[in-house]
Amino acid sequence: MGTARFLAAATLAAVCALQAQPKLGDNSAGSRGQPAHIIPLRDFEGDTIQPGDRHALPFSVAQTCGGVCHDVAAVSRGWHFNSTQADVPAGRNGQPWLLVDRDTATQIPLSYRAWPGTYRPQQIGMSEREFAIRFGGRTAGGFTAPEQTSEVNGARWQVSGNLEVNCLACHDASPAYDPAEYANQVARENFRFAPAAASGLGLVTGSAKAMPDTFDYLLPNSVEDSLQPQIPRVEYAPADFLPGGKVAFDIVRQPKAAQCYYCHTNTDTAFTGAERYKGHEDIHLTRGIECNQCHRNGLDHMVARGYETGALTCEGCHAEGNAMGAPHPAHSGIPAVHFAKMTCTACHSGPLPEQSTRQFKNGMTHGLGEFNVNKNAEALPHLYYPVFARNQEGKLAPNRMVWPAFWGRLEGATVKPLAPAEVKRVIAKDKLAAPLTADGSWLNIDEHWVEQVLTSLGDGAVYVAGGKLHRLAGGRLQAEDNAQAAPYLWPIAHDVRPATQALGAKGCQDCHSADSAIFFGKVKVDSPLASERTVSWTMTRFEKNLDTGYQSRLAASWKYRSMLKAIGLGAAGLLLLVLLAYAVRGIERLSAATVGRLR
Amino acid sequence: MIWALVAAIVAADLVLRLVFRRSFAGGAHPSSGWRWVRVAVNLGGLATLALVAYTALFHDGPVLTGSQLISHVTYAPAFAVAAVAVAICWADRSRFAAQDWHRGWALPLRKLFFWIAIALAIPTFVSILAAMFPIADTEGQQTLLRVHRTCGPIFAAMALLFAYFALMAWREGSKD
Repeated sequence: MGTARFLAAATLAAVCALQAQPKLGDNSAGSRGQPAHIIPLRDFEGDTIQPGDRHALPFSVAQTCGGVCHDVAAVSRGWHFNSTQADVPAGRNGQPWLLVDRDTATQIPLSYRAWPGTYRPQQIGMSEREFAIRFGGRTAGGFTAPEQTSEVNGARWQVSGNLEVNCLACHDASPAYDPAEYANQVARENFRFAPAAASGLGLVTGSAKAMPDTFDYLLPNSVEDSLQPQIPRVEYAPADFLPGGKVAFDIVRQPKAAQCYYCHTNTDTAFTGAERYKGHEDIHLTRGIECNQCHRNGLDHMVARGYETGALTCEGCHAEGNAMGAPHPAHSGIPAVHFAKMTCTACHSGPLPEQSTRQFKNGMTHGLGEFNVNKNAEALPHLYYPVFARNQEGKLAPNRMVWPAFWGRLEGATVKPLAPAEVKRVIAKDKLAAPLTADGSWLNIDEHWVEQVLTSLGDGAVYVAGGKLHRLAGGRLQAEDNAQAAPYLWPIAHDVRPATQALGAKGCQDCHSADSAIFFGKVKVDSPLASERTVSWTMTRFEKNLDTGYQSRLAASWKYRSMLKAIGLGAAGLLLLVLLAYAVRGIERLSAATVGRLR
Repeated sequence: MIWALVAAIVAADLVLRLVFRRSFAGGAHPSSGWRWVRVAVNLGGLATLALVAYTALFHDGPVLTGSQLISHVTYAPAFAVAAVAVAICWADRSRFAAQDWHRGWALPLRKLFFWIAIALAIPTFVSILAAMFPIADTEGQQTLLRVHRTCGPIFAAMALLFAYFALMAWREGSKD
């Protein structure tokens, strides 16, 4: 018994020691060269896949990359994969996932992170699996079956498999890697096949979505005959296998910007289609700097997010004598108070503010680059920028923005959002469906339609849209202010403009003028209700605690600034003349005194 | 600190006057057509100094900002003009002479504080005006602000002492 306990303890100690050791690929010897990744493909059981396998299985990224080389478990705690994990920091407000349901005029920001203004998917009845199907194609994976889930969901997870961390999404630089194909496979619920399909090593056919709850991918032929053509299968190209059955991946330690751009593209709608060539790029990229040179990370993949403090920030890289060789800005003539009250991005990031906000599209939100994407500028969701608002540190910063639109029930002072599917059922039951528009924008609806739907939804039903909460009062639609109706904002970091194009480059009146866009610009209100789209909010509404009276007076006083300078400098000159004139006379008298001619 | 020094100098002057109860002989005031101009200049100088100093010294928060800063900047040009007028009116009367000390201490102290005030006015004005041009970088901007914030109060204190000793010298019947 004693020996058995000793052996068990020794085994446990050995396992722990092994776990504490960094894996082969994580323990760099320091070479700056690019290590070759000629490795065997491994399936989800860890078994090697051979080109001649009779029944080929999809390769598992976690097993292929993580078997002996990389600690994928550590990687999976990084920003790109950890949103659904418990006890991870929420970080500052970021870009939410936007659930759009055109039939119900819904556009609601979702996030698993505790970002004020967003809703957790489960609040609208969306399971993690449904979330993964809807949005997982624009992620680098990281969605696994939760420990507690419904029986149906649990069965479907078995069918689709986990959407495991996909290292290839960022690190596979092969021209054969196709992120659009990855998204396509995720939409077909082929979670475990998606990396193989995207990598170009395997041709994936079929759809797990069509498979019954009892489907087992290891025994694919057990489904009825009519479903046989839909069975998800992978076929590898023997030519991709090297002698020994290994495969050469074009893995890069530092992904190129184009790989980041697949998900992280933000593009002004004015610069899409034929106008694309007119758009600008971040000055850092133009100068040849890649995203990951600032957004670095260690094995934990907690990618530096460029918060204001720290080395990998604007200030960190542009400090005097910095190691990056980045220009140190003089900011000549700009009072230091600006740096205490505004972020660097306020003057340097996003488009120059104009009298009204602009519209943009986003890779993750609009599925840019995916197959059959709606390229119309008006395709939902509608995103606006730049909106100047105070950030969590109280500094003025530019933001991107979305106006939430969703149905809910008022419980006390809180609006509990309703699942779009539930609203859709009610709309269908009462034959209230409105025709969809061809451009992918909002339905053509009016207040009367909202009244009808609210009546159908019953007591306590409300509709949030256009920055207002709409509810029935005495049978009439009433719109009122509500915190949950306020637009959701997240900060603009890119594209960074150089000093010559920064706000203030043309002078103080870029901001300190009566029609300054940064203070008095108009923020377009977006709503499914056409009547609300004619309204706009003034930028100052987002700039909490801003003394607008002071800003107006300061702007008005600017025309006298030249006069102030002229009078001040003239006065200083005259005083200097008076001082010099009498100093000269004093010296003259002192000199006279030395020869006895004291006066 | 500077205001404690001003108070100490004024208090010391008043105590010494009580102790010695001296009255210094002086001539009659020169009568000229410029008298009312001088009075207006002196009153204007004092009034604008009071406004500028008040807005600079009594503000909410640790630094002068917002509407109070606008007020300060609004009064500043008027004060600058008044300061030049005061300088021109008083410069000739503030030439030091060997016999100054024989006529009490108010007169030489008045002259001394006048010239110190004039000398301090220049960096006070120039520092803040230079900050309005794209000359100095961020650190330079802060230095210029520090110069303004340091010279400004000392200048105001010297100007007040000058006004006080001008009043005392006038009471003593100084012709200068």
